Formats: sequence, C-alpha cells, structure tokens
Amino acid sequence: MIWCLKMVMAYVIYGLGIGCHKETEHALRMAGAETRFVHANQLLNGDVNIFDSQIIDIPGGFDHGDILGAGMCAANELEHAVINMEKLKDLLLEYAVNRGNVIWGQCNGFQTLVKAGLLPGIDGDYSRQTLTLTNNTCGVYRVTPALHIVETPHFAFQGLPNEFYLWCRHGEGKIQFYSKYGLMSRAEGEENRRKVNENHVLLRYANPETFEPTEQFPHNPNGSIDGIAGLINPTGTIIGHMAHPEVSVYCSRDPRWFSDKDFARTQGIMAEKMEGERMEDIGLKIFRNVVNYFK
Amino acid sequence: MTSSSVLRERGGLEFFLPDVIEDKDVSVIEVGVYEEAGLAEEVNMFLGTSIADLNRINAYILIHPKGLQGLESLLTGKPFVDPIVQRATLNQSLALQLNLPFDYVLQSMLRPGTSDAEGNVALQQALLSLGIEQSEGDLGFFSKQYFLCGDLTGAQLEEVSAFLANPDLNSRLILPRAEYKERFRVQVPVVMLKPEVKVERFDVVNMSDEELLKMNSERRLAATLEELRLFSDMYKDEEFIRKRRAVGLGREATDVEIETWFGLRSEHCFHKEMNAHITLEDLADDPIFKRAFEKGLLQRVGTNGPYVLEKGIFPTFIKAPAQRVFEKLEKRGKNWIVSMFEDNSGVVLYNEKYMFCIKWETHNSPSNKEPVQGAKTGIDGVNRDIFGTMLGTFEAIANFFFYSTGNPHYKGWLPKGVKHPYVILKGITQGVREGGNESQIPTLGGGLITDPRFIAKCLVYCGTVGFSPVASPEGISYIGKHPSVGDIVFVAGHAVGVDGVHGATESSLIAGEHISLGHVQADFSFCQAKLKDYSLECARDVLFSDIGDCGAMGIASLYEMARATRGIICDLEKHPKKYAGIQQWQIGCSETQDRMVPAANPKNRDEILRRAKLHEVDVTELGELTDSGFVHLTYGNETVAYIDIEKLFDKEPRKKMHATWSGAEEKPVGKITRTYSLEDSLCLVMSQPDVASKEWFFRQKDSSVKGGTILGPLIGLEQEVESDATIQKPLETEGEDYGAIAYAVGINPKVSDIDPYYAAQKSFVDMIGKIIAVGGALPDMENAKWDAWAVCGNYCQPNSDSNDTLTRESGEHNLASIVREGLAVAEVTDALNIPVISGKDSMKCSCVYEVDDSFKLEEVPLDLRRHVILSEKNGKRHIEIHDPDSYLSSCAVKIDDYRKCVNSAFKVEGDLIYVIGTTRSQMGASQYLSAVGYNEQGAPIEGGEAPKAELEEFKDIATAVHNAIDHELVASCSYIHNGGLAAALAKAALAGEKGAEIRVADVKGEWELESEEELLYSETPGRFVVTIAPRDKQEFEKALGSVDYRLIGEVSCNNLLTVERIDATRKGISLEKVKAAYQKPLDFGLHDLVS
Repeated sequence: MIWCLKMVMAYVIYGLGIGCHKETEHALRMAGAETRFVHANQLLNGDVNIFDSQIIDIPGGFDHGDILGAGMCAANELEHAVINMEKLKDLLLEYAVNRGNVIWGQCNGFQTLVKAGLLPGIDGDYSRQTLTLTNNTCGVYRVTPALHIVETPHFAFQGLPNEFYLWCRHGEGKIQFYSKYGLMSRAEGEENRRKVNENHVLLRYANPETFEPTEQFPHNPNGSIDGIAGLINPTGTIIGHMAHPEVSVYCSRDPRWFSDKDFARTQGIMAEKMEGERMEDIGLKIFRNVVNYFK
Repeated sequence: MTSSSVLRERGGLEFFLPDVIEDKDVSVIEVGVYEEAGLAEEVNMFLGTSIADLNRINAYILIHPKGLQGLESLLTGKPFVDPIVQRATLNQSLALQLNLPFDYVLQSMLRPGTSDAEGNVALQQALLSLGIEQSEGDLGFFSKQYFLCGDLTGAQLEEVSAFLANPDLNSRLILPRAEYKERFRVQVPVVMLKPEVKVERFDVVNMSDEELLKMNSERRLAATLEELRLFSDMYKDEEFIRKRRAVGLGREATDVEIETWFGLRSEHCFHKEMNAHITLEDLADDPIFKRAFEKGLLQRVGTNGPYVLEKGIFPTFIKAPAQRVFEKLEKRGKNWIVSMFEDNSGVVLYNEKYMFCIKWETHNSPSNKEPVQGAKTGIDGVNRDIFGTMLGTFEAIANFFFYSTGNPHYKGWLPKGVKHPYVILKGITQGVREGGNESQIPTLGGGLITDPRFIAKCLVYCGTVGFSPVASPEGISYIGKHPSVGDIVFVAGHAVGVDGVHGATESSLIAGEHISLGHVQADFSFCQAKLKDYSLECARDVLFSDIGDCGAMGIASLYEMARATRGIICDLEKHPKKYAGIQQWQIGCSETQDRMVPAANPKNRDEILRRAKLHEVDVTELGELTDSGFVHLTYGNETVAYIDIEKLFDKEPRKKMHATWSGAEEKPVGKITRTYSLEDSLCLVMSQPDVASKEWFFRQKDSSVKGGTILGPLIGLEQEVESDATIQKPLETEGEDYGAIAYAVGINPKVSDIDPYYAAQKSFVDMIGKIIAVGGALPDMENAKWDAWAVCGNYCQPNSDSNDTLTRESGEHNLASIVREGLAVAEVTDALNIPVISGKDSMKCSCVYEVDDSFKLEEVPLDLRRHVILSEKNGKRHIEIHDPDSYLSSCAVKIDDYRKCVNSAFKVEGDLIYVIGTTRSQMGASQYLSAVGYNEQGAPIEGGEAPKAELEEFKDIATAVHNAIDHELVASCSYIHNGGLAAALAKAALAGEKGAEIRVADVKGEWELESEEELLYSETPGRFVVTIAPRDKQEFEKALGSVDYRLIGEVSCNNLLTVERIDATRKGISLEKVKAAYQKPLDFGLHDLVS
C-alpha cells in the first residue's frame, strides 16, 4: 500500500530577541509538521519562499527587547520589507487570506500581528492597527496559568474541551480599543470592539468558578477588555493569542501533574507505566489540529 | 580640552548641545501619555509625599547629520506611536499641547556614554521607516519625563526624582511648571572626550616606593608595594627589554601594561585570598580544627603551634575533595565529571550524549549602587559564562537568583549614600527579571535572606545552568577548548565605551557630571539575546576553536585563552567604539557588557562574518593567537603593550595571611519573655522575610519558557506556595528518556554568627535535602549510573584581610570563618561523594564609612547597632559593618525518571504524615527566635545551639527517602529548613489546599526534647516531612528501614492545622490566617489587586 501523506511545512521565525522558537518548533514537529527555523531577517529579506510552507509561526519572546512597545519594531520591519518589488505584508496576506495557509502568533508573535494590522482584519481591512495589546492593568509582568474558553469554533481547538488552562507570561497583554490619550476616537474604538466581539474573538479568559469571561484580575491576568485572550481574522487563518500552548505539549508540564499523578496511582496506574499518549497534553492537541488542518 | 555644551534655542525648544552638533540635526519626538497612578501611590507610600497625579511622556532625541526629513509622518503610527493608546508631537511639548495638568516635570536620561538601548533602537527604526541610510554621526537617546501634580518641597522633589531615576545612572532635571512652559528643555548626553588618544609611559624601574604607591592610588590599582615591585622588577631584565625594543617599546612600562597587569592580577580575577597561605591561631582548642588536623586537612607549626593551611582554602577544601570524588567515580565507571574549575563553569555528563554545566556569580557592589543594572549585568554576565564554556555550545536553560538585603520594611538610620532595602530589592528584582526574561531563560529558583547588615551591603547572586550535546551531529566533540596558533580572535557584540573602567573621569557634556562611572554599567539585553543566538549557532556548527566571555577586565579574557598557545597579538584600534577619544588602556580594560570573544580557524572567517550579518551582531577581527610568549597589543601599527604571558598569570608569590579563631558563639537560648499561642507563633514564623512567600518575585519571572518545567518555583494552579526544588526536562532530550535535571539552593548566613562551619554545612546539606525531597538520589558509589551532581559554591565573605579592616580582630576572625566554611564543605563532599565543581568568591562584603561628630551609635536600630564597629582610622572616626559569612550552595542534579518525582503539596485526605530524621534542640539562628522578637531591653533573643547535620545519619535517611519515592510510595515530600517542622507542614498544607491533624507527642517520641517550640521550630538539618497513602504504610515503613521516623498525623480536608499538644489538648490553627501571614510581607500589594 502506498501512503500518500502530504507533509506540512512549518516555518518557525526566530532571532532578534524572539526566544520561544525551540519549544515551538518541538511542538510543531511532535504534531507532525516538517519544521524549519527561519531567522526574522531571512523572512524580511526574502531569503526563503514563504509559499513553500503552510504554517508560519511567530513565537513568543522579546523581539527587539520590547523597545518602543511589544511587537512594534517587528511590525515596523515587517511593514517596510519589500521582496522582489512586492511588500512582504501583501505576500503574507496572499499566503494566509487568499491561499488559506496559517500565520500563527503566540504572545510576542500575537503582539506583532496586531501592531502590523494583520489581526484582527476587521471587514477584511488589514491596512492599519485597529486595537492594541498594551501594559497589563496590574502594572507588572505576570506569569500564571490562566483558564481560557473557546469563543468561536475553530479548527485549532476542534475536539478539545471548551475550557482549559494555558500558561500566560507577559507584561503587555491587555487588549484595548481606545483610551484617554490615544489617537483612536472612542466612537471608532467602540465600533471596532463590537465588530471584534462579533467576529474575531477566538479565546477569552474565564473565571474558573463560573466559566464566564472575565476582566477581573487574577483570572484575567492583564485586564484585557471583554476578557479577550486570542483573535482570528475573517478567514480564520491568521491566529493570535497571548497564551503559550507550546509549553503544554506534555502533561508533566501541567502545574496539576503531581496531584493528577497521585490520583492515578490511587487508581493503580504507576507513573513508571505512563507513556506515549497518556503523557500528551492540550498544547500538543492544538498544534496537531493546526498541522492536520492541511492534511 | 573638552567641548563645552551650550544652551541654544530653536523654535521654542531649548537644547543643551555640544557645539559640534548643529541644531538642525536634532529632532525630538514625544510619545504618551502613560498614566502612572500605581507608581504615584508607591512613591507616596515610600517617601511620604502627596503626589496627586503622575503621568509619563517618553521622549526620543534623534540626531542625524542631515536632519531627519519626514519625521512628522511618523507621529500617527509605527514605530513610535501606538495610535490606540498614544499620541505624539515633533519638536514641541506633548504635555502642553494636551494641557496635561502638572506642577513639576522630572526629566531623566541615562548618563552620557551609557548604552542607550531604547534610543538606539528608536533611531534605527526611524531610519528604516524614513528610508534614510545610517550614517556616522547618528545618535539616538531616550528620556523619561514625569509630570506630577502635588505640593512638594524642593527636597521631596529631589527624593522623588532620585526614586524614579537613580542618580548613579541617570542625569536628571527638575523643572517647575512655569519654567518648563517658558523653556522646554532636552538634554543631549553626548560624550565628549579629549580627541587625542595617547599612551602614557612610566619609568617604573626608577620610581621610588612613594612614586609607585602614588601611581597605585591614582590609578586605583589596589596593589601592595610588594606587587608593585614585582611588576617594576620585570623591566630590569635586559633580555625582556631587548625583546621590547624589537616591537618598538623601551624600558618604560605603558599604561596599557600597568592596567592590564594589575587588573588581571586583582583579587577579583586572581582569588588571592582563597589561595593564600594561612596561619591560624586557634584560641578555643576547637575540636573541628583538631579533627581536620588529624585528617591531614590542616598542618601545624610544631606540636602545639598555630595551624597552617599550606596550599590555601580553595585547593585544600574544594578542589582536592572534588578530585577524590573524581577518582572514585573513575573506578566506579560512568564518571560524570567533565570539567571542574578550569572553565567558565563546572561541567558534568547528563548521559553519554549530553552534558550540563552550572555557574553562579555575585554582583554585589554594582547592585548596591544601581540595583536594576547591577543585577541585570549580574544575570546577563553569568549567562555569558555559560555561553563561553568550552566551545560555546551550551544553551542556557535555567536562571536562578538569590538576594541578601535588609528588610524591605526597615525603618531607621541608613549609612550615607546607601539605598533603602526596598529600593534595592525592587531594583534587583527588575534587573534579574529583565535579564532572564528577555534572554528567554526560565527562572527556576531563588530566594531572599534578610539581615540588618545587608542594608550596608546587599548581596545579589545570579546563577545559570547550561545544556549541550557532547558532540556535533557529525561526531565532532564539543568537549574542551582547542585554540591553535594562527587562529583569528574576534570580538562580538557591543561597541566598547569607558563603562566599567575605574577612575575614568573625563568630562562629559553636562557640566559637573561624569561619564557613567566605575562599576555601574547599563546592559542591553536585546543585544545579548542576539549575541546568544549567534554564538550558539556558530559554536554548534563548530566554527569556533575557543570562546571567552567579557566579564571583569573585558576582552582580557582573550589573554587567558592565549595561555594555551602562549601568545596573542591584538589591535585595540579595531575594536568598535561607542564614541571617539577612548584611551588604549580603556579599550583593553573596559567592562562594557554584552560582548563575547571567539577564536576561530581562518578558514571559518567568512562564515562567521556572514552569520553575524544575519543576526545583526557586530563581529570584528581583533588579531590572532601566537606562540610568541607575549600578550602583544597594538593600536594601529604602534605597539602599546608587550607582556610576558607566563608571568602575567603566575600565581606566585602567593598572599600570606593570618587568622584567629576564638570559638563558636554557642550559649543557652535567651529568655523569651512573651508567650504566644501556637497560631500566633506560627503566623509570626511564616511572616519572617526568609520564610515568607516569594510569589511576588516568581510571578514576574518566566518559569515555563523552554517548555521543560515539570516542577516550577511555585506549586500548583494557584501558584501561591514556593517549591524548595525545581525540575526541568531539557528540550534536547525530549522523547529520548524520562531523565531530567533538578535544582536547589541552600544558604544560612545567620548560623554563621554561631559557627560558620555549621552555616556552610547546613547550606550544603539543605541543598542536598531539597533535591532528595523531590526524588533525587545521592551518587551511588557501588553502581555505575548517570547520577551527576553539579554543585556550585559561592562565598560572600566580609573583609578577611586584617591589614585592611578597622580592627585587626575582625579581619582575622573573618579569615578563620572562611577556613571553617571550607572545612565543612570538604567534609560533606568526602562523606556524601558530592563534589563542588564550580564557584566564585566575593571577599569584600563589608562597608567602611567615615562619620563626623554628629554620628551617634545610639541612633542606629539595635539589631544593626550590635554589628557596627566604631573606630578611628587615620585619625578620623569610621564605622565598619561586616556582612555575615554567606556560603551559598547551589546545584543541578540529574534525575533518573521525572515521572516518579513528587512535590511538597499534601494530596489526599487521610494520607499519613511522617517526619523522618531526628529533631534536636537546635534553636540557634532559627526563624522562631527571630520571630518571637526581643527581650525587655529591646535586644534580639540570641543563643541556642547551631543546627548540625550528622552526615552518616543523613546519608541513610536520604537513601531511604529516595528509595521510597523511587518505589512510588510517597504522595508528597518536603525538606525541613527555615521555620522548622511547623513551617514545612503549613506550606505543604497550603500548597495542597488541605489541612492536617498533628500530634506533637508523636513528634516527640523518645527524644529528650521537652518543649513544643523545639519540636515544632528547631531547624536541625537533614529531616523530611513525607505523606503517603494509608495502604502503603507497611511497605513504606519497610523501605525506611532503621532510620529515625515517626508517624505524626494525617492530612485533613478542612482549612485547619489541628495540633494535639503534649498535654493532650487540641488546638486548631487557621490556615487562612497562616496563609495571610505567609503572603503579606513580601507581596508588595500583589494580593490587594485581587478584587
């Protein structure tokens, strides 16, 4: 029998301060993708042909040390990159919006996509930034597992429980549509907020007692408006969220692992026997869904 | 001499500008507004001010030789403005445009010459957006402008300004509203040095002693006359002079040679005291010294004369015991020690395919001056130690911190110029966070010890663990360093400035202010992040033959590299510079951060430079390795230094020192005058800063990055209780095995007030116990296994040079203390076969201040006063404060199967609680005694026996506990340390969100301890709290064998710690109250945010 499996190629962007590329690459590889590390400058200079891949992952990290605001420099460089007379941004839109490939940003990658206007793409307009990810309301960098709920059915979260914990680690994760001193008017900001809530919200932070979306600290780690934790564009192929599913590939990385394992032992399952699928966790399922989307 | 700055005006804007820059070339973009209500609240709380409103605007000052056409197009978006929350102005005040309410403006900006990351990146992004090429005269600066409303005095404004921007690092301006409105000012911190660069020459042979000493103090060489003479005598050697003439030098020594020689041979680089010949007078007839003498660890003059430590502390107590373990492991098989003390870090094997390494550094003096940058350069510096280990193939996979400061809530007298512990603690936390997070290295452990003495000098420890395959995929070994004659040496990373050059006081732009001086340097984490990716990639592809990091003495680490080939030639002129006018010796000695110095075969040159371009790392060829026998430095074609490389690193003549030991401070426990309920005493103990939750610290530091964290520094979903050890699965081994690496730290400076021997012993044993508690094992000397222990020992010692201390006794005592610490480390290593393979000493953890007649010792709070030495020095009143001897023991340990590991949280109601190991009456330096406070006179309660480990007993206990965990019989396990048994139980209950029923009488057993306090709070090392499922009781007790264990209670499901007392009465302690006591002291408002 001849297996005709289509290999899925994922480009994992790294360099210039991006730091989560290795675990992200590992997650994609474990999920069945072929992977390639692409330095941010290779992407910006056109040293790689993005159309040879199906997934471009912009991982978490501190691109340019978060100077001028998280994601700002990367977005600026992305907007000014021209490859063979074509703007890189246009090529990326062709890649994801027209050809249905996936651009996926976690944390810092999400910040970059938002500041570059690639997310959320309200009414298909990607020309400018329509909302922002700004300083956490709590005023400090916050590291915490946060309960997420899936708002919009999406292939990345297919077959998963509707709510799950993922690690958040960021200082600028608060979604905001307008503010006292911003150039964006309140009216326009509110209009964007309405449209985003209608069509673009992928994930929200939730209260673990009510499973309702929340703006309240600490369950919402950054004070994000309407509890928004992740966004998609109209075609669902540009994905961004603050959480780090790449560190939840194995259940031994879940903060509940030790109590879960103790419980399993009372059921007669020894840790020594835990292997393979038993050790998989939610993050791997998310990565697998994204990879399998192309299979 | 220097260019002056002139006040000039343009379009309502006023600049302090050096006269070489034309007005039209300067643009200022202001971006804001950042509302800083939280910061205002913090300032008001800390300084007692009444700031009503505080806002910040960021200013970017961009200088370009042709001006920047079109900048106004960048006012509505990238790269400067996030239009959703910000707006901007060009060359005019945003605050005035917005009618922002304010009474004062506080401006700050990094001092001239400091690496300005924000300014640099802003300029680059602006050029990119405008399509303008970079050019020679480009400069970018960043300035913060705080606009505050409130009625503040001039002194208060100065305090607020200094709180917001440390004067040691920043230039500051305070402007009242009227003045700001009239003239909106921006400072431009351009460094203006004398343009001519010139080598100074010294006829050292013909200099008198006085002249040599004068040069010594003027150039701050910190050398003794003997050392100065040793140096000058070299220039009498005719053969040497003949060789010098051949390269264009004469009999005179150059300033480059002098600075290089004495810098590299300083205490900091040369560890003279840890290698000194020591005579030790034992006035107490101490049994530990006797034992050491009998074992041959100490010698003696005559039969009853003073002890002699012939070879020094480091060779005798650290290196030799490690070597003994090495030999045992050689015999056993699977010897995992790869490198001890010869590289930047100690290296062990993970298994046959991988290796890991450990290094901890301290960055104390800089952190006292400028906490943020001091600590940041600490963590980034130790990370570079890892990047520079062997061939540079190690990836930093875990970061650690440990702070010793004053209590952040301290109120009272501060030595002049010393920052409040709160400011220090907030600053160093920020620095370590930025350094670690921005390099995307998980923080997997850390802590805080407070003591009033650390107010005068805080200690900041930073640690890193690295991981690497032992060979490339093609099979080329990554082990060792292989520099060869003819290899090119490069400098990669930041351009050099005069940062970190001592004594550099060239004038700068702003009158009266000096260039960022001394040991205060700013760090550019983004630069380091790029450097890290670049150097790791090159190293793993075997492009380098060697690599060094630039820490103390900067690029001089190249000369150490050159010892292998016996020579080097470098052109200092080639080193990229931040600004013109840096003297040759300054290039050679500058400690500008974020640099590495690789060496490579010339055939790899093109590839090394090509990758540098991709990674945006500046890489410059400096010279090559030779076999000339000399460090040959040139500046262009002119030779500026020619130093005999053998002599440069020759450890002789060794320092000779004298120590005196007058006995341990063991006395009965002072009378505790107040009685406390069990609940109150437990709450008091839990709220001691050393015990209290470090959640606030860990919440800011990435712990799950790299995807390998199995047990993080905070436990469970709620992340509220600390774990004593952490476990990480290295990503590179994922899928290959279930092995992992566990990390822990031990430190007990307070015990050293009783006896430094037991302080160091407890630190070492605590660290081991914490590893055992999560599932680690002692090295198995019978069976060959991959069971590596990589241990690092850091000594932070008060001044032990009695020629230098205010009183001779304190110096001699301090030296005897190090000997005792060393002895403890040697004995633990010998008993448990755990070698110390890396370390660092910081020998001057003391402070001396001149005080005038107004200083009154009575004004110093009592718990600090008792440590203050007041004495005359050079006819003037001085005070001296010595930090307690601090031995920090840290480790990275191979774990065989992480699936079997456990954490400390109680699991299931009904689980049985055991205490394993004997509790002894050892209340000395306990948290309990600190907690129950002071006697009627206000004196802290002292006394008590030091906590002492019985090493043979501990070995059995550790083995038994490991076996029980390995057989999956254990539900939870904690190691008992700070706060004793009671604190361990409370933390385990809080972590598991459970309660417990405890019978104190069962803790007591047959032991002779009388008081409940001792049973609950004694800090005897080597004990564990273990919980198990009831059905495993028989098997578990069998696994424990003959070790001392007691079943003391059960896990309950209520929120109470119920204690059945010795008199059979029952008392319920509210865990909610305990939790509040545990969380509050160090949460800095964190839990107030929870609505």
